[in-house]
Amino acid sequence: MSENKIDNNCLSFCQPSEVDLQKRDFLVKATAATGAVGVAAVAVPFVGSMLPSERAKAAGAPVEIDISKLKPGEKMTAEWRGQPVWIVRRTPEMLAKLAKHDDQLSDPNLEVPQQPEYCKNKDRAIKPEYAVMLGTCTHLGCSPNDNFVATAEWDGGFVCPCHGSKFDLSGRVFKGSPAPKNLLIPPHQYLTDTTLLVGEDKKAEA
Amino acid sequence: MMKKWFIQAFASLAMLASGIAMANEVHIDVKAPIKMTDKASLQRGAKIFVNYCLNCHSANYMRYNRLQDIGLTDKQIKDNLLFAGEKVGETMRISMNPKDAKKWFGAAPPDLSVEVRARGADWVYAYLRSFYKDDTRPTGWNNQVFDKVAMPHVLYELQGVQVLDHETHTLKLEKAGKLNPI
Amino acid sequence: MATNKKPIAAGVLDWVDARFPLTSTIKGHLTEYYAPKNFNFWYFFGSLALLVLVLQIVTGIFLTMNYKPDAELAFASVEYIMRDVFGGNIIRYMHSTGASMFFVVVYLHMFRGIIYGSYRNPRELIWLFGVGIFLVLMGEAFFGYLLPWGQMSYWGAQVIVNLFSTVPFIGPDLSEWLRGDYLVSDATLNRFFAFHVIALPLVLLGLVAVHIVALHEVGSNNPDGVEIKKNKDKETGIPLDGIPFHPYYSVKDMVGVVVFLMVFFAIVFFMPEMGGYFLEANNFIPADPLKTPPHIAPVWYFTPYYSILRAVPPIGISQFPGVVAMGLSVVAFAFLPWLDKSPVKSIRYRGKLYKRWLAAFVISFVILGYLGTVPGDVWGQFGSWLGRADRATVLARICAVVYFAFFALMPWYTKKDQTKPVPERVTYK
Repeated sequence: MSENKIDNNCLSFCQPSEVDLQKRDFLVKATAATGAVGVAAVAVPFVGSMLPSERAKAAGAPVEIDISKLKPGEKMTAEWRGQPVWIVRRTPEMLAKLAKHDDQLSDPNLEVPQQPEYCKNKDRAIKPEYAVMLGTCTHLGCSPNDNFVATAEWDGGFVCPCHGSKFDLSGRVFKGSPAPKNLLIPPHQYLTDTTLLVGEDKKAEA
Repeated sequence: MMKKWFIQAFASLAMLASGIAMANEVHIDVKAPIKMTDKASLQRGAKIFVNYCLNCHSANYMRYNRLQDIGLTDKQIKDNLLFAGEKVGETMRISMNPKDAKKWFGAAPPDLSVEVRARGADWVYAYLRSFYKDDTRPTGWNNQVFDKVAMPHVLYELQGVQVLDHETHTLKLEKAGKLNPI
Repeated sequence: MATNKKPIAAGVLDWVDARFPLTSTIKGHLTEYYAPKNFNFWYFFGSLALLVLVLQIVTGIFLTMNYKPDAELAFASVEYIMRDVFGGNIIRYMHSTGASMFFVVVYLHMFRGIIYGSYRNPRELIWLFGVGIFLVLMGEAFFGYLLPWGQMSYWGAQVIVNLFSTVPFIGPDLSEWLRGDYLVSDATLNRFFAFHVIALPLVLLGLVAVHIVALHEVGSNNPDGVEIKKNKDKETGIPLDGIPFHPYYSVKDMVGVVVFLMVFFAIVFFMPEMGGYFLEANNFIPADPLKTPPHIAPVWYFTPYYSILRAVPPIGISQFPGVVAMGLSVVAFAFLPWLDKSPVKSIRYRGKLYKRWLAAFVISFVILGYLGTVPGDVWGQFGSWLGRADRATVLARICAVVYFAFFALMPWYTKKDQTKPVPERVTYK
């Protein structure tokens, strides 16, 4: 334990030889790499804990909706997965108007898959009279308001209060709206003439 | 020099802004005649509220004894405003289940604790006075301020029955009620 | 020994100083921290921001004692605070007013930095920390706004979280991860509460600390943009144009604090809703996932950026460009130190060209802010003289272009600007 020895230690510490530097470099990199793997492994449960929980995933059961009280020309709102589902009972005049403004729509031919295959028809519905759609704007998720009264320039439909996107009574988006896509049609089927099941279609059962 | 420039710019901006500010909403042109110092009027209001509103609507955040603020004693509150054996320290709850209410009326009657803060006193005043007879509605009533409202005209005994003149869009009293129109 | 005669307080101070740099810290940051002697009105807002931060933390702690971060209970617990908790309404209004006043003060503080070139060399890092504070503050405001669980809380969060779903490829998963559910729900409320009351405040405090440490390292700028450290007294080394922060500016700031608190409590007591700008009427309706309120607009301090979002049209079916523009409009401030090529710092010695650009920027910012508060349907009503595009949208687009041009063209117009000579020493005006 002489002073001499301490000086020697300092020498090798302050002016390391080539071999030492390489060794140290390797150790630093190896430690950093191991540490990074450790941090990544620890991050998994933390990041993952913010994903929808099992309880949230289980809450999406299909709902039955009684549409017997719905009058022609009116809309009712039901709830599925916490989101509004609209059922619009369209009058023949409304249906007639829907066929005439294809040129004003962004996607009149339903090319973007915003509906089940069985709704990819001119009325976007299983039964032309009843339109079923998710009342959530495809722009930023607000729920558009009804504006059914037709005028010379407006055939009736929905207007989103947040950014003014416009949809027709089939949920098809008008050109010039910030919303990029038509309103989503959820999977659904008729259990009886007046009972609708939203959240599950016949294909899923088969 | 700089400052003058700014002032001119902001003045013209303000003019521009006022030109754009015209939102599409139901215009309420009546002013609710509220006088916070008129205790007798406020107490009448409380009585009407517990008699007509508080069966279907709750005021879950409002305690009965807060009515001391409008000049009532606990005893007066207990004798005149409590009907179902509640205590004066309780909040204005109702026994109706919101889920049942939704089934019966189509929409659950909202809690009214902060309704005036949400809508404004003028809106509430105009709304309560704008019911008219409309046989196409399930309740037989419609409202000029709140189109296709689910609520019937609860105060019709007091106000009487109004009808809508479809040409002028004004309401006319068809049958007078217990209270004189003002 | 001489120390026997020392008063007890001085003895205690000696004891502490031997173990903790108390006296030297006070000297370094207060009594012997030399600030330029020509500070003016604009220099109130830094200390006021600190004051509001303290107010928000204190009122926030007391609100947390009674608030319940649960979708079933949140709205009721806020009303419980308002009605049943003694002084609860005052504390809540102080917190809600404080949120808006924070932005008032911070916007004025930022404007000061811009007009006097406080972001220029050697203060770039102070400015960057400041932009960081601004971003965290926006996060605080956004997360906090969900907590009352009213209609505006709910739909505001819905819209902002959905902005992330426009990110190409990972968007929908990203917004689901942020919400913790398929829509804004109890899980979202709970985590926003965690962000609002603990995560972001810690980050904010850290950033404020480094903001001040960096400031005291290089010293304050001033309305002349003159570096006072260049002219030091040859014997003492004290800047000739500097005066000690304490007592000179601590006393000056107290005047600002008193005036500010008068305004602050006038709002708290007499108009906490501030005509719907500080507390929105629709937020007194409990959150309803099935129905969006007819008029939805963010709180006033977000509206300039929100207008830019609305002004940018979608490309194809992607909304991402608007979201990017909105993000850029906030982050653009961070680039100022490197965009400004002027030989002078302060607006006092800049030429007309810069002043016009700045005025155009401020006016655009205010117009955008105003347009962001008007409901979406106003944006669709003016079809007559501009074809299908509406007047408000066109106006917003013009303002957005001016907004970005202020930043993008800055290297050009600051270089071209006719500047005036900067004096050696600070001046009074």
